[in-house]
Amino acid sequence: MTRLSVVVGTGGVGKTTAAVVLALQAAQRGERVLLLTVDPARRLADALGLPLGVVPTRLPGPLQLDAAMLEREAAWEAYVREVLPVRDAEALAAHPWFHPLVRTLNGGHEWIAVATLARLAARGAYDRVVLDTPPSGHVLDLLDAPRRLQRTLDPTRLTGLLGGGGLAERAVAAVVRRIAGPSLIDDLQSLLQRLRTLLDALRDDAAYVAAWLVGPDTAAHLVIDARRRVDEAALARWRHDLAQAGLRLGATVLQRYPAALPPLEPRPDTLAGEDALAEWIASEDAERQAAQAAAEQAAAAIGAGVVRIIDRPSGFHGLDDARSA
Amino acid sequence: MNQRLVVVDGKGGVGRTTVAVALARAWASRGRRVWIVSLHNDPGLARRCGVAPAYAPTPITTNVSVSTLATPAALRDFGTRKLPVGALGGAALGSRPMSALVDAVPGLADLVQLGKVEDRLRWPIGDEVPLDAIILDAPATGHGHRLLDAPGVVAALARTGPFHGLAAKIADLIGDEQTMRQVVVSLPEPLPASETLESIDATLAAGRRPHAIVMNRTPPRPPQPRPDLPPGWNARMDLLEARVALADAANDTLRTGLAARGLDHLPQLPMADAAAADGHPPWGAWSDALAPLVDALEDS
Repeated sequence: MTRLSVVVGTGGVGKTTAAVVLALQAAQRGERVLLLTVDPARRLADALGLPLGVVPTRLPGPLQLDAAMLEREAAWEAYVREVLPVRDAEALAAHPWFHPLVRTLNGGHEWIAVATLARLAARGAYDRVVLDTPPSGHVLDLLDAPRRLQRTLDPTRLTGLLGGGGLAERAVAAVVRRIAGPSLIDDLQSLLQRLRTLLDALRDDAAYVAAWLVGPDTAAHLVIDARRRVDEAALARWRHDLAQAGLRLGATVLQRYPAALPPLEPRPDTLAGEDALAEWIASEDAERQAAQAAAEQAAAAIGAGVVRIIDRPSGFHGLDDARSA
Repeated sequence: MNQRLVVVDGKGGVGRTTVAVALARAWASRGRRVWIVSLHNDPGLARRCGVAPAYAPTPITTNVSVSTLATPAALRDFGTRKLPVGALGGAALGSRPMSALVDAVPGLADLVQLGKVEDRLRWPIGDEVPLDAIILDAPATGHGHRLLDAPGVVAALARTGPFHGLAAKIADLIGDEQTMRQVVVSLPEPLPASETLESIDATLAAGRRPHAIVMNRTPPRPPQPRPDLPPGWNARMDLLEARVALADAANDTLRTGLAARGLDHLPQLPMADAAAADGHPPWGAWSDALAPLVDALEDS
């Protein structure tokens, strides 16, 4: 089965660069790799210096490394067309709520990525998929999105609103209907009718994806910014969430790992007139060392192997920089 | 000064929350009363301020309080007063069908929380003091744009009725040039700078405009020419100079991009990088540095 590396971490830690490096390493081992991002901000495209689309593109060079970017609305439309008969798919895509719904659905982005991945993986074209999760991405959202979608659109929660229920339920529902206005309820009802088959398909795919995510072929790679002091509470939440989700930890990626520097001497006289700057450099240096030590300690505590990506002052621009990492 | 609603916007990890709090403190030091809110139960703001997340305003310093808003509480709170719920009032707003409806209708959860913000800004009740400004610690851009688009989305879906009315009211607030201000937080690095321009394009396309940009984590400038230094200091000065060169390039990218969009006069303010992240952010120094931002936001 296709192996899956899920790259997770707090916003701004450098997940995309980490994903590029992990994908390159796997491709250099001879694997056929797909690097997939769900980041609408095109960080991956920027990091690779390449235009990316929803169709996997082979990256220049001898490696079997493809990259693609998933655009949420297009992915949902493709999914709908794949699971529904043509006429139903068109009716659903034309519903006034469909596009706003897939745009605003919490976790919908992550989930459609994984569902799309599952379908790609089933075709066996890749040995490994590296998934760069969105900045706000919460790993639990990956697993939870189908359940949330179903809960969001669960007709039984709307009992009374759409008819049915006891006397008290109907009385409350009447007030809710008045607040909502009749058109909103009618639209909701028609949306639910058109979604029924889709929700069934979602349930099946969700089970398949969940099994893949918690299976032996999947590992989560947790990215930590080694330049900043590890937020112990945030790290504990990540570990808790990953464990809760049943995801195996593959490696801790220490991003922006400081290159070794000669030790800092006592402040030289030549900087006498630059107190503020000298203090900044000294405290920045102390902070860098403390952050580095804390990151190493955190990685050791997690105990799942460490990948260090050495910081370069000018940042990463393109594939060659990532290759040299 | 007119009342202000300030949306602090930016990509994940650029320091929106820190800038929102520093701005509130800078404003409050002039005697203004400021309320900072995060939405959708996001506890990041309260954590940054060292308080427990709560819906009710929690004071963090003189004239500044913070709240962690969420849909059900906002609906019960201002909905009872502002929606035609009749005798069944709270029972209907707290009911299962109501929460199901708010979950299911795209944009409605955002709209309800913005409804609370509008209500507090415009219509203080009981012993609530009038506010000079509300600062919205917006979700990361992408979602941030969705947030301000919510009134339009809901208005299109709820073609009549009270939610349509609420959407129209919030759309008026967001479109009100006297009240609405948007601050974009960026970092002095190439990728964040170009992402900021993309985000500004989305703002402009939606018919809104930014009012200021804050370049968070701006490094200090090394002396020119560099004095004679021992190897350890030299190595660190090399790193700092590389960072400053990146920052200059990023600032240029932004300045050029803003000019190309007719936004030459948009203030682009540095906020100093504080090297020591020992849990004691230099709020005082940051607030001083943001005085020009307060000026820009108070400017009518």
